[in-house]
Amino acid sequence: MEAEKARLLALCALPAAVTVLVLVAWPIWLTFELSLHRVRLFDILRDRPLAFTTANYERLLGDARFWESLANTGIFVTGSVGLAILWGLGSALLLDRRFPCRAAVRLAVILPWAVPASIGSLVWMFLADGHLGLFNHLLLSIGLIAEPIAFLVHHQFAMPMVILAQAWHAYPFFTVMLLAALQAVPAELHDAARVDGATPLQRFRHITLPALRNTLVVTGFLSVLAAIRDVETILVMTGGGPGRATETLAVRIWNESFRFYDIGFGAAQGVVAFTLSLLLMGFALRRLMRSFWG
Amino acid sequence: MRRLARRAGMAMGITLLLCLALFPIYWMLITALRPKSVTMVWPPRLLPDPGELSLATITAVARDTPALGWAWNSLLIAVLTTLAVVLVATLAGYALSRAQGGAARGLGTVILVAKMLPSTLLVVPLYVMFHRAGLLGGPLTVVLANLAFAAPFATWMMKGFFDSIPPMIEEAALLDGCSHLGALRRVALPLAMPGIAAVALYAFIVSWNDFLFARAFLPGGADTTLTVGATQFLSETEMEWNRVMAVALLATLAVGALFLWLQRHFVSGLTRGHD
Repeated sequence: MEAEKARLLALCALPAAVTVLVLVAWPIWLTFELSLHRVRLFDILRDRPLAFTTANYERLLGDARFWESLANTGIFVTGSVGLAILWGLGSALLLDRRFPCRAAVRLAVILPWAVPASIGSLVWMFLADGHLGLFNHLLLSIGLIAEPIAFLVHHQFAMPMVILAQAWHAYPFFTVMLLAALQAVPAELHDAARVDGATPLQRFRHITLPALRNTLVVTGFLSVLAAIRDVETILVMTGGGPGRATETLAVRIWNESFRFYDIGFGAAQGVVAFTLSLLLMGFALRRLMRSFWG
Repeated sequence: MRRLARRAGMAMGITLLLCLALFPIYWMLITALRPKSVTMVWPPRLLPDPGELSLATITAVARDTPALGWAWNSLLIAVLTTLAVVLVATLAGYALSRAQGGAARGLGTVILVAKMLPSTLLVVPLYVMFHRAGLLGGPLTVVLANLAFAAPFATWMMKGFFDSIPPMIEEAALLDGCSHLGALRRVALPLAMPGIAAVALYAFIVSWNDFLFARAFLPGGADTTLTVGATQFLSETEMEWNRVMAVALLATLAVGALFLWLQRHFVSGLTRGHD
């Protein structure tokens, strides 16, 4: 009986094991291997033998662009995740209250989620356009600027613009998760605190925030990882430009591999990104494991 | 008085939230429905004249560009990915939920780590692997890549659903003479249907929305998906915003409709297992 059950469970796990092995583990191993070879895209396509080298890593250490892309990753990730958390928290707190048409409003607020990231980026691109964009029209008409600004080709405004677009796409995830966590807070807690004379701010600090902490940590962490790997928003809106103003590590890997065809050098940066994510995961894995195994 | 002020503040907050959420979607819709002569004019007009709205751009895009072919590719890839993800994740979620011991924990941890890995990292090595396997350029590549991306999270979701089904129900079926496979098929699977629906929706949305894999593995031009196709109307010389937004609208409508229809399942599926 027990043996039959074990066999069935092993069989059930098999497709997932094969998927992870072939489509995740093997590619990661291949990234390491490619990073240690001098390899251009054409070598792959013509099946040429590859020469072993550590030159990719040596080049990386002395490469100013690499450090720049790391800094850009930091700005993009903190900016977009921070904004998305604030946006999500604010909306969850508001949507948790009672008001007319609440269900419809909730649905409307999380609707950006249903828009594909690349499509949302296209819309923001149009809004921020220097010739026909609505933002320029609005800013001009309230007198905040004197001349239209081409936001996405301006080295100072490009990064805030892609951060805004990314946060617009990312915040509904926080809204949904935090709203679910808020609904689990017993109303009696708030009532009791109110009776004891706690101000709204005190109630937020001592009741709401502790109740949300676990959800905030898990969702925040997942979103940081998602933002590190995100490449669609930036690829669509700026391609990493102007110059390299929005070139994050993920975008750099893409550009190096598919625009300059230097697969080996791209892979070396892939190894760095992989190590970076793994380090981050190490911090949070225990906590996530606990929520996974219950 | 204070109550009134709080009410007003809340109304303002909600209005602001709604504007921020909906305005870009409104702008996409209105641009797709307006003629080029209106959208390419400065200053842009916020509200449309009722007479200028028409489906002309959308029908023109369907007629003159490969947009319908892109939509077909998107649909094919999304459906195949959904089937594969549901199969893999349901079985694995069941195994992880019911199994005890080191092997299950090991697989669970690997899946958890895989879920968090940067998909950007997978693009280049998968490109090389697909080339060596002679698959490059076909829709199967995008299906496999989406499977690798979506299966880990879907498995996590499914494990949460099976965890909420008491094993006692299956044990009762076993006592009644059911085999283990029978207990899975006749008892656990039907009870997990809401979870399977949520996972299917998740997989469909992820693969329909994919841009990166389709951009990397498909040749482009007529042979790509809606999300990538929409960007092809933008060039250095001309930005055809009407056409971009018409294709964008097509890409959004499918998932948007599904989302509106099934959001309750989806949201409950997502929030489970995160407590």
